[in-house]
Amino acid sequence: MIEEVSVQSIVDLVLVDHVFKSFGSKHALQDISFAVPAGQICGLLGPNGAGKTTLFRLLMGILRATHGRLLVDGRDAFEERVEVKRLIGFLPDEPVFYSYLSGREVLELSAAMHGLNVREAMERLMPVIRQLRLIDDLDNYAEDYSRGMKKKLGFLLALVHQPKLLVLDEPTNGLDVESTHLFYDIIQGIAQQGTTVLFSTHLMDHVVRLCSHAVIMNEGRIAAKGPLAELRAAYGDRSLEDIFLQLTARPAQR
Amino acid sequence: MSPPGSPSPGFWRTVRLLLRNSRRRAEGQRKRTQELLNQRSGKSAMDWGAFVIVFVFLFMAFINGAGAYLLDMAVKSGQTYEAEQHGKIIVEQSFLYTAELDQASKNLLRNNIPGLESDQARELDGIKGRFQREAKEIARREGGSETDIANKLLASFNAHGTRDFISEEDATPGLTNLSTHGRMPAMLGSLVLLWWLIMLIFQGEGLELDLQRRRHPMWEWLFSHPVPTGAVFLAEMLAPLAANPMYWSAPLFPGILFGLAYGTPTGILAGLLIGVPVTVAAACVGKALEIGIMLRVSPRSRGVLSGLMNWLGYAAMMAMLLGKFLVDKVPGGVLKHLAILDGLPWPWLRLFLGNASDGEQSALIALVTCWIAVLIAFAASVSFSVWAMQRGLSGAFGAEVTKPAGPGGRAAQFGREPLYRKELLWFVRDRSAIVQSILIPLTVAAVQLFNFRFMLQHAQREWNYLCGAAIIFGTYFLWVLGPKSLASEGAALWISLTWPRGLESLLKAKAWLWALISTGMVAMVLAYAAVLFPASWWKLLLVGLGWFIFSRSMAEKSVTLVTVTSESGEVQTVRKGSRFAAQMGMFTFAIGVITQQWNLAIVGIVYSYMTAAAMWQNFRARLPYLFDPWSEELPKAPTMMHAMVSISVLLEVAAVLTGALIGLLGKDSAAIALAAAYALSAIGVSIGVSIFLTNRSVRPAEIWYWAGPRDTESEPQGTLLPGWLGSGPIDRTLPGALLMGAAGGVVLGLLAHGYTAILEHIPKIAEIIRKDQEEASKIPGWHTSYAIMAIGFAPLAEEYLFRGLLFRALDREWGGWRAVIGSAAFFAAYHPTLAWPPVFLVGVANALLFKKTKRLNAAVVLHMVYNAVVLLR
Repeated sequence: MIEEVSVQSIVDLVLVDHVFKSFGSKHALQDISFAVPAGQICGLLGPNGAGKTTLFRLLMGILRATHGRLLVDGRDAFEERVEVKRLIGFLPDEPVFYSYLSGREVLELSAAMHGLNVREAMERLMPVIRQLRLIDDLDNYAEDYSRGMKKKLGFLLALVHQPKLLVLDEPTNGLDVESTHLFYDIIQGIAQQGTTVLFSTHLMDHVVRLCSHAVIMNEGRIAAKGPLAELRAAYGDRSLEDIFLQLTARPAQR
Repeated sequence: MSPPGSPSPGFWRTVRLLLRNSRRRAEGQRKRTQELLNQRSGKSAMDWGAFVIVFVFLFMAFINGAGAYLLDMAVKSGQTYEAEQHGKIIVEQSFLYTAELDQASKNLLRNNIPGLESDQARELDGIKGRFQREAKEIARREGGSETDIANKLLASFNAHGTRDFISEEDATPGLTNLSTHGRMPAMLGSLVLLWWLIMLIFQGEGLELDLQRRRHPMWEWLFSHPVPTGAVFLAEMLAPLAANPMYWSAPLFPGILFGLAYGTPTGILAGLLIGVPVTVAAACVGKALEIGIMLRVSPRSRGVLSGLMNWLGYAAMMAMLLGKFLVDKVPGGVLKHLAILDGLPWPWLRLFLGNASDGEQSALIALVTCWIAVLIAFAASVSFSVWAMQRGLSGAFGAEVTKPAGPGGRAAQFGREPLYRKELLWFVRDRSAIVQSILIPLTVAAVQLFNFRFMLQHAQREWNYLCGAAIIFGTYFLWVLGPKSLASEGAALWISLTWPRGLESLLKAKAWLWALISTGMVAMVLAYAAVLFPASWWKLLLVGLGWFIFSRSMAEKSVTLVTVTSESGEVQTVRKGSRFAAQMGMFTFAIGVITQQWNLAIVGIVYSYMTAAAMWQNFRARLPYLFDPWSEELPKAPTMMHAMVSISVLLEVAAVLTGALIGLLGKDSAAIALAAAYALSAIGVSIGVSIFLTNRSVRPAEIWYWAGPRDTESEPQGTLLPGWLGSGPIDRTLPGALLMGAAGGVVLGLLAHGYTAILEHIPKIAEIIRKDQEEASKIPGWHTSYAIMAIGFAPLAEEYLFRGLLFRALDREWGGWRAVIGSAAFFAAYHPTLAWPPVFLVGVANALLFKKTKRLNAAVVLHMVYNAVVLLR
């Protein structure tokens, strides 16, 4: 039994352990605990303002937890943030780019800043760039990209250094249907190669199709978590959307 | 769409319509600004708009007026130069008059009329006196030695009488008689005239600080109407006239010029008949250039070009304002170099003022010439913009629009230091780079220099003042640039947060870049100084080197002032203390250079580096919380800043106490007062710092015992000495450490004696040392009290502060030899210059000893023994 626990904690690539985060008197996160096993895809669900972005920022070491700890591959997300950044690829909700660099230059810069061989990194990315149909626009200014293209470039940026963990904040928000499917194909492929993925989304059916695990947050707390099948079983095999609505229901405002 | 049959508006009707529209836009904009202001202050704020406009108008009028007088001054300087080139000496009218009389009486004297010998002597004395007075006057006006000038005057008088003298009025008639005075006046005047025109042409709608790179004029919408293209552009060209008060007062410039040349009535007429059309034409040329850039240049280069235009207009304006303030005469040295341009044709001022080739001057000719020029400018502007339009509004660039221009993005180039290349691309491709990193800092630095103008007045005559100005200029440049270090990141800052190297290396890299840029700026000033003072080239080179070293620390400090624009867009204020700290060392360095006390300059540089290290240590502790101020913690005590502050307090308190004790005990007890004050201050500060640190949960043992930067957990084990005895463990290593300290003290003390012996062989320095000793021996009890202070108290306090706090903190920041040398240099800087080398060695030895033996008491022993040996005679 004890052995099982220790094995479990090594296998968990992401471990969020009783995390509280407050900004002054505002409590953004309260007692958040969950784990994402290595190689799994975990969907993070929650209405606007549930604290998903704060959680991602904590994982990136941009914010420091008021209490509790966040471990990525056994490393503290804040104290060892330099090392942790080698492990994480991050895509923010609305990626913005330097107005004076082309898409290719942004990728090359990021590869160089990760200490990689730029040429090799670009060659490695090329198939994904082609898959995302960004190749023709790669030498154009990233600032001039459409919203979807920016999202794609941000996604590529997160993949540059072959991270162990992908943290994606609403990756398909603003993408057309075709691109959305493309994204999920790539995510699935990457996960199959052993990369762990943690992403937030509002699209339940995609979570159902992609994820092995899900975490539902509401108002800074965990409302439900676990392997998807268990989660649904616990709520009488209802659809995820129903479960979500039940868990996050707020009294109507008068 | 206009209904079929209704006529399209004609050329002038379109122009009128659009101008009225542009006035309404400006009005609306003003209203909106006011509303925003009201919203922010929560009440109805006073509408200062009208006052501001009046003020700006007056300011602009002042600039135009100053420009006209600047031109007059330039012409007169040129005329003086020409006169001097022809061997003339410029004298006061009254002097010339008496000199002519003297000439006559000299002729009389020469004829040896008997009985006049005694008068003759008196007469000669009188002449000499008048020549001396005139020489004094000339020296005041133009600089140089009085006696030299007096001799020159007398020699010339004896040789040719008054033939070489010329009155100021005759030598420099200014604009009233331009054609008979050689090429130099015409050239200088033309240069200022062109300068004014450039200022006017590139003025645009005023300095634009909004960094929106792509402006979208409403052209697409305008040209969807059936209106003549030329009319739209003409209206566009006339719009700046309404927006920028600079244009309203511009006719003043020609008005004053013609007033000076032809008298006031003509001047007023010229202001109206020549000034107004020339101003309008200049505005049109500027706007036409802008339109051309908009339509014919790719969007990115477009930004750079129009940014440069904007800057040129602004810089020309500031230069004109400061030019009149700072120089009342173009120095001869500059003119000598400008003479190279003499060969080019410079008819512009003559044409402008209506000088015919035969020397006749006529306002009528001027009027005709200017009108022709204005008409040409109008036609050229309109047809230029219509030409620019031929390729359409925006479609002509094709793929170029979104493709990077400038250095291509080859992979290998991001290799070694990717951040430098990224910044380079920013500079090359983004107009805001020029505005943010050159224009604004330059402007502020120039304005700051204006505050130091007393210095600039000397700067033309003395190289060291010019160097001081360069240092202050460079410092303010960095001071403004540093806080904008994240400007090139903008909203893309998140990308650097995903890199393992993160913000710190990003900002360090920027500091290095800023240091290089500022060095380039300062080098330009120093190059100018080298032209003015070629003999001092090697001193200028040294100052340049000093700046290069200094600038790195200055840039690092200013970078720590960086702010991140919050999501609400509100600008965050920089703490005043930090702002002040960032300038530390600058005045010491600048004053050291100005007064040519090189030791002071070095102290300034050392001090600046120390504050830079201290500020970075605090900044590094704060940096992880840049986006999370709620979690921010104080950096772990003791920091470098604690050490710096404590050391400063030690000296300040000692100085104040000395003063108080001397007042109490009388001047005879100065020695005792100084020693007692230092001892008291040392004890007080040490105790104070100890208490402060204990409150920050730093035990004295942690100061007295070295726990390296990495093994912070390693605490001394076993029986401990009490804190004030050094709190190391009592074991076999203790006697060895103390012995090492004592031996080191003896060796270094003997070295210091050797050093003094060498110094005494240098007569100049030996004299200084002898005088010092003499002074000291006059004070009763000097030797004893000094010995007690130097052996008993100073080592304890100084080792505690300089090694226990400062060196250890610096070791965390810089590590290795840099920290050893840096702390020793700082230690030396607190001592008299002559004592620098031996004290520096003590600093190095003690730093090493402390780190090696882990015991501060070993360093204290070294210091005590050293001081004792040095005091032995």
